[in-house]
Amino acid sequence: MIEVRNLTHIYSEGLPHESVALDDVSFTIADGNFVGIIGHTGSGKSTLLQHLNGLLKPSSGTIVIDGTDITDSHTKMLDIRKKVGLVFQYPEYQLFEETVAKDVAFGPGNLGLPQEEIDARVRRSIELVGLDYEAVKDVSPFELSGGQKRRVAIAGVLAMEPEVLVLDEPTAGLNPKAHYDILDMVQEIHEREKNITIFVSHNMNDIARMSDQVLVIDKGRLAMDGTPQEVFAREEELKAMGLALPDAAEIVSQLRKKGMELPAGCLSVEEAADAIAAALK
Amino acid sequence: MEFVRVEDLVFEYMKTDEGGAPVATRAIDGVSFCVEKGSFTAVIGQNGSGKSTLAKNLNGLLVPTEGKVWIDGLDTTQPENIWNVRQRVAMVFQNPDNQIVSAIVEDDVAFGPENLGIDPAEIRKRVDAALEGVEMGDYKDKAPHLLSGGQKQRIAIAGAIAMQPECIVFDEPTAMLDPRGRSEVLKIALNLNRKGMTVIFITHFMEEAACADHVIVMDGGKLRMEGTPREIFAREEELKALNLDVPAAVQLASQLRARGVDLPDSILTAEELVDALTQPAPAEAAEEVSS
Amino acid sequence: MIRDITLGQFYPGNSVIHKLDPRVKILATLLYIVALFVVKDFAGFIAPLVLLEAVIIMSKVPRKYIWRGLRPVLIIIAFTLAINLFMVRGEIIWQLGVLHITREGVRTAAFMGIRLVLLIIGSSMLTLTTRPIGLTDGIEALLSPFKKIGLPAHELAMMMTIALRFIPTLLEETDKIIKAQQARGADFESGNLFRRAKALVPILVPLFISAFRIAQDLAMAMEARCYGGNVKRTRMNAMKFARRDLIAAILFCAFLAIVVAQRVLG
Repeated sequence: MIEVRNLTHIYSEGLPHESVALDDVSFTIADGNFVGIIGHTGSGKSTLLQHLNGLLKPSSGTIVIDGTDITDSHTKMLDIRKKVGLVFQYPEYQLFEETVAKDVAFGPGNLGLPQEEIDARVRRSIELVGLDYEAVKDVSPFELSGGQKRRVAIAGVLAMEPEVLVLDEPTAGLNPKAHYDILDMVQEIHEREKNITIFVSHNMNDIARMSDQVLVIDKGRLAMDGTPQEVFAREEELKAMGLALPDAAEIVSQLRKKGMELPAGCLSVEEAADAIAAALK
Repeated sequence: MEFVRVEDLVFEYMKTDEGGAPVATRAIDGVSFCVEKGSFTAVIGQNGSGKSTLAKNLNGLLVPTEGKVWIDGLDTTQPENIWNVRQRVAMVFQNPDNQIVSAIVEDDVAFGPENLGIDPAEIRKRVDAALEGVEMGDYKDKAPHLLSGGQKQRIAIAGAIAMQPECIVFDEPTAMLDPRGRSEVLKIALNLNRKGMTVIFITHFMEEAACADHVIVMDGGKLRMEGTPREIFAREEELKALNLDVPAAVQLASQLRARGVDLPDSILTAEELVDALTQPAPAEAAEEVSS
Repeated sequence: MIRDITLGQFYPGNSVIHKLDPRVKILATLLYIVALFVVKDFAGFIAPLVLLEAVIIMSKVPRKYIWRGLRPVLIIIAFTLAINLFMVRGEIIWQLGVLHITREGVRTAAFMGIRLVLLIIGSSMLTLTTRPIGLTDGIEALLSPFKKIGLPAHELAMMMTIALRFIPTLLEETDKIIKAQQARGADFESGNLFRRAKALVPILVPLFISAFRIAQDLAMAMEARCYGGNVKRTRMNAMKFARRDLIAAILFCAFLAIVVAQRVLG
C-alpha cells in the first residue's frame, strides 16, 4: 500500500523564482491497483513520480510504502529503489552497456546481489518484457529496433524487482501497434507480479481501459481521485483543466447532449456501441 | 496541378553486417505517387515503414538510388536544382529541440532566409509575419529551451514559413508532443493549407491523418494504399494487418453496424457520427433497426 | 535546478550596452581582461570596478541575475582562494598541523579573488547583453582578416552559435540521464576516485549518444533550411558601427589609459 500525505514540493524555495510544483497532495493506493495519472505537461506529474522513488525529497509531507516512510532521511536510498522502480520517458535513452544482458544487470548489480541472483533476474526480466533471452542477451542494445530498446530499458528496471512499478508515458513516440504491444506487456507484468503499477499517459483511452484508479493532477494539486467511471463523469471539470474524455466517452457525451438517452460511464468503444445500439432499439 | 511527382522511387542506404561488410538496405522500394498543389496529404505507416526516408527524399536531403522525384518540375537528382528544391519544400522534423539552431527565437526563424541571401529588411518582415502566423510573436526574444515542446515546434514551423516555400513536409511533428501541443501544430498545418500551402504530413496519429484530403499508407518501403481518408479508413482490417489503426469514430461506427445500426459508410469524425445518429428522426432510425 | 544557470546566457533588453556593436564589446571585453592583469595592487581595481559598475547600471540587467551566473563558478573561485591562502609562504598568522595561513597568503587570495570575480562578471556582461548571434557575428568579423591564412572564421562562429544554443539542452539531458540511472540504483557519491570515475560511464555513454543524435538531426535540419547553399549569406541584424560605438570606444580607451597610468605611476 502507498500512502501519500500532504506532499508539497517547492522548487528553489526561498528564492525569488520559487515555484510550487506540488501542493498538499494526499492519496492512498491499495495493493495490486493499476493507477493512471493524468494532467497537463507542467502540472506536477513528473515531480510526483520522482518523489515516489526518492529522487526528489518533499518540502513537506510523507510517503509511506508498506509501512516504510521513504521520505525519512534514515531510510536507505537503495531500499527505496528496491521498493519502487521508475521507468522514465523515452527510457531507451539511458541504455549504455555493450550488451543487452549487461545493461539489464546494471540495476541488480547496484543492489549488490550475488552474481547467480543477478543472472537469474536478468534472464527473468528480459523474458518478462517479451524478448527472447538467448537471442538478445549478447546483442548491443543500440542495434535493436525502437520498441525493443524500450523493452530492454523497462527490463532494466524490472530486474530490480520493485514492489511498485512506475512508468512515465511508456508509449511516447510509438506507432499504434508498438503502443498497444507495450501496454499489453505492462498489463501482463502487472497481472503476473500482482504489484502496484502506476502509469502516466496523455491517452485517455488507455487510462480508461487499464486503470483501477485515476489520479488527476492540475497545477500541482490533486484535482480528482477515483475510478475511471467516476473521474470521466466529471466532464466539465476535466475540460476546464484542458483534459479530454476518452474518444468513445466524448461521442456518447455529445449524443446525450443532443437528447439521446444513454447511460453514464461508457468509456470504451465496445461499451459505447452496446449502449447506443440498445438506445436505438 | 501536380506539385510533387514521385516515380518508381527506390532508396537504399549502406549498413554494415556482422562481419563489417557493407550491405545495401532498401528503405524505399518502388514507390510512385503525385501530390497536387495546395493539397493536404497525410502519410501513415508503422516505424521503419520508410515514411521518414520518403520525407527526406522530397526536398533533396536524400536523393533517389533509383527512380525520380520531381518537385515543381525540378528533378532532385540534378545537383544544380537542390537549393531551388529546398527553398520550395521546407521541412519540419520530429524532435522539436534538435532543429532549432539559434539561442534566440527570432534569430532562428531568420536562419533560413539568411541562408537564401535575402535582404535584411525583407528578412525582418518575413520573420515577424512568420512568428505572428504561428502565434509566437510575443516570444521572439525568448530562448528556445525555455519553451514547451509545442511552442518549439511552432518556432520550427515559423522558420519554414519564413523561407516562403510552396510546400511544407512535416516529418512526424507531433510524435513527441502532448495533446495540447499536438492540436496546436495540426491547427497551424491546416491553416497554412487553407491559405494555399501544399502540406505533406507524416504521422502515426490516425485522427490527424483523417484531416487530410489524401492519405498514403506505407509499409516495408512500399506504398500499400492510397486514397481519401474515407476510402482508407473504410479498410479497417487491412490497416490493422499493417499494424495501424482507425480513428475512434470509425471504430465505433463499424461496431454499431455490426450491432445492426444502419449508418452510412463514409463516417470519419466524431461530429459526422453524432450527426448520423441524431439527424434522422430517432423514431425512424429505431424502426430501421428493429425491422 | 539546472535551468538556473545563467552563465553564457543572453538577457534580452534594449539598453545602450545592448545596442553597442558586438565587435566593440568583444574587443573591449578582451582589453578589460588584459587590464585586470595589468593591475598590480588593490587601488588598481578601482578603475575596473567603476567601469563595471557603470556598465551594469547602464545595461539594466538585474544584479540578481548576474550573481546567479556567478554561482556555478563559485567552486573555481573557492579553489583559487584556498590555493593562495594555504600555499603562499610568508609570515604565519594561523596554523593547524601542516596547514598554515600567512599574511601574504591572505593578501594574495583577496587580490586573486577580486580579480577573478571582476573577470567573470565582466565577461558575463558581454554574453548577457549581446545576442548569441551578435556575439558570433562579431567574432566572425574580428577573425575574418585571418581567413586569408586559412582560418575558418565562419565555421568557428557557427560552432559557437550552436554550442550556446545546445548547452542548456545538454544540461537538461544530463539531468535526466543522472536521474534515470539513479533510479536504477547508481551511486555517484560514494567510493574512491576510481569507483566514482567508473560511475560516470552510465552517464557519459548516453550523453554522447544524445549529442551525436542532436548533431545528426541538426545537420539535417540546417541543410533543409538551405545552409551552405548560398555563399552570399545575409544577416537580419547586420552590424553597424554607430556614433555611440565611437563614444564607447573613446571612453574605453580613457579607462585603459587610467589603468596603465595607475600601474606605471602608482
